[in-house]
Amino acid sequence: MITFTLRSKTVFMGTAVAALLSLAASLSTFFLSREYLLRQRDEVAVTQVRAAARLAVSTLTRSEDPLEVLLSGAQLLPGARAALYQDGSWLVSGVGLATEDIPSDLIRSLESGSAGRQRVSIRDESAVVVGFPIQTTSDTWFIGVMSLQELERTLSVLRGALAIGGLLAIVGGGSVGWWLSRRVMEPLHDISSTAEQISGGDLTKRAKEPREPDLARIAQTFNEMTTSLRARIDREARFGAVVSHELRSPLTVIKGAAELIAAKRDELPTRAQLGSDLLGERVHQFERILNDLIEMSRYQSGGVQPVLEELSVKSLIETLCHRNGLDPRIIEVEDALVVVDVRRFQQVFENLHRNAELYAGGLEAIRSEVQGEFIALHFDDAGSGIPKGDYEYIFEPFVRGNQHSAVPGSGLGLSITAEHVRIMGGAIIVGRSPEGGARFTTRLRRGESSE
Amino acid sequence: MVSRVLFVEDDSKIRQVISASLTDEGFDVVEAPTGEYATSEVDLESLDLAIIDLRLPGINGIDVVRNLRQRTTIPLVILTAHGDSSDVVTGLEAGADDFLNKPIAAKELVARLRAILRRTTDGATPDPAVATSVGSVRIDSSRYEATVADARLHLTRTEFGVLRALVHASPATLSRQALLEAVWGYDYLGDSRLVDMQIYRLRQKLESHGLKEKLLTVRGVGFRLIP
Repeated sequence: MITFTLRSKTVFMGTAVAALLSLAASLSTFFLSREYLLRQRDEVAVTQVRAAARLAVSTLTRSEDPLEVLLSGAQLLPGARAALYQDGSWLVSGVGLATEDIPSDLIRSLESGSAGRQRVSIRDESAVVVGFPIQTTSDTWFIGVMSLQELERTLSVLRGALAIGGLLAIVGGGSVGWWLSRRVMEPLHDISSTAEQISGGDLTKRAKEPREPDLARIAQTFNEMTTSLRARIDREARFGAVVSHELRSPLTVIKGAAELIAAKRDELPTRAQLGSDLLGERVHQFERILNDLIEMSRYQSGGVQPVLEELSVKSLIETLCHRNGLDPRIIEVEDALVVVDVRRFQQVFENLHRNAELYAGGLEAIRSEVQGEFIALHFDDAGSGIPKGDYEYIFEPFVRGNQHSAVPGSGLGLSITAEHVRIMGGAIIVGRSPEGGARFTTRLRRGESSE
Repeated sequence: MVSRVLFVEDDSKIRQVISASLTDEGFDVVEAPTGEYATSEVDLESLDLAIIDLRLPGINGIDVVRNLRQRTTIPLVILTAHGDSSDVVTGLEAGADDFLNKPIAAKELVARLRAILRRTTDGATPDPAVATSVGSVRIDSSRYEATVADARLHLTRTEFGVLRALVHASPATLSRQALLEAVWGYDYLGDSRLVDMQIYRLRQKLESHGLKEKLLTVRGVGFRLIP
């Protein structure tokens, strides 16, 4: 279904209302004036024809010649169109008038002895036909024809004027609608673009407050909402940070104690050795999750500054592979300079490596591709790939493959990875490797000193 | 030789457990519960290294670092919150030589301390083929002393290590990574800010002896010392 914007709807409504109103006004004006003018014209016609008939009657008293009688009356009428009926025969004067043009209804009313008038169309010309029985003699009628042509012209001028007025009203209505909608929509547009920026993560943005009190209210409410939202997010980030920091001291002690026990592992009974191993492993895992949480809360509260430097991407990857016990044969990276924060890149590498190990049988290849000012690093794993539907969610915090809930982790690894890459001026995307596994691609800026 | 390490930490449990691990590994640990204790009660002469937690009640860790730096040349290692960049920067500016993230692991700590101590107390006679002077700068590795035109250059152990590495390499350029490895014992991926801070200090000290523009930054590569 096509949806219209509020703006176009307002304009449309304005136009429609103006059209309806002006149509109603024009039609009523037209028909009222037409009726009024016609009635006036009718009365004029009746008066004139009556005068003509009287003249004809007075002529009839002097003369027997019906033609003389007819003409004496007809001379008073414009166009001299008249007819005389006497002794069963018609006598007609004037241009373009024939006995057939006299309407039968009129003849019938004359036959019954009363005068009558009727509007007719004679050869596309509208006219009014008035008939009077001549009292002195029975079955003698005088009929006069008065043209309405002039009235028709007046009416057509009126019609034209009203149509133009109507059109102007429609355009005016549309413009008013457009202006109104602009007036209303502009502040709303401002609010919506501010909302967009805010949803993009910039909580410092505020909507402009328009002068109209009603609209200002919306902007105020919106800004108040943003402020309280920001306060809330800050509070949560602070809470997370404080909790994570407070957990650190006890964790240091637990970790130290676990290490003290582990250092004497050989002297422990088998059971205690098992306990020590489990303790050490879980403490390590706990620490990693805690570090992830701290890292994430730091990103959420903003103000993270990377320590950027230019390094050879090849030796960087080689060193990291060596450190993580990866086969150097998987490296298919060209020699170029890359801009990285070493600590963060190391975490990116380790997160992608660990993810591949946990979920997809390890990394199969690390490939590079120079893309303009950027260098793309593809981390291809040996798994069966990630469903396309998960692509957009995978970097969200706490999103984990549901079949992998048994795998330990904070669910923050990939979102921290994405934040790390972003803060280094790059981007990370997920796709499919040529071998069909998952491919995580980090796009990082190339060093300037590279030729 | 048993290394004597000062450990400034307000949490008694952490102090206890880390000291126990360090003692087990053959270190002699001097515990300081506060900054005040560390700066007034401890005999600095007998120490080989100090570890300072930056979050301390009373005198804070940064002030402790500043105080100790003025009085001793031994390596100072600060403990910072994980990934907290600003802590690292202020610590290094106050005179720290290295940092470790909390929560610290005894194993990692021991490895770190060994690496630092090995590099800063490594008095082995250098290969006679390796240069011991560049221009008016002369180093004596057996006594950790450097001179500029026979005037003594007062350097910390770490600064001396950096200068020694640069002198040995001269006229070649040393990369940040090479310096991290030679002086701090990090492999390739140490924090380059450590190097930058030491280079900055060293350069200031050389300049105060009239050696301007002798310690050069080679953009995108590293540093070199020229006669």
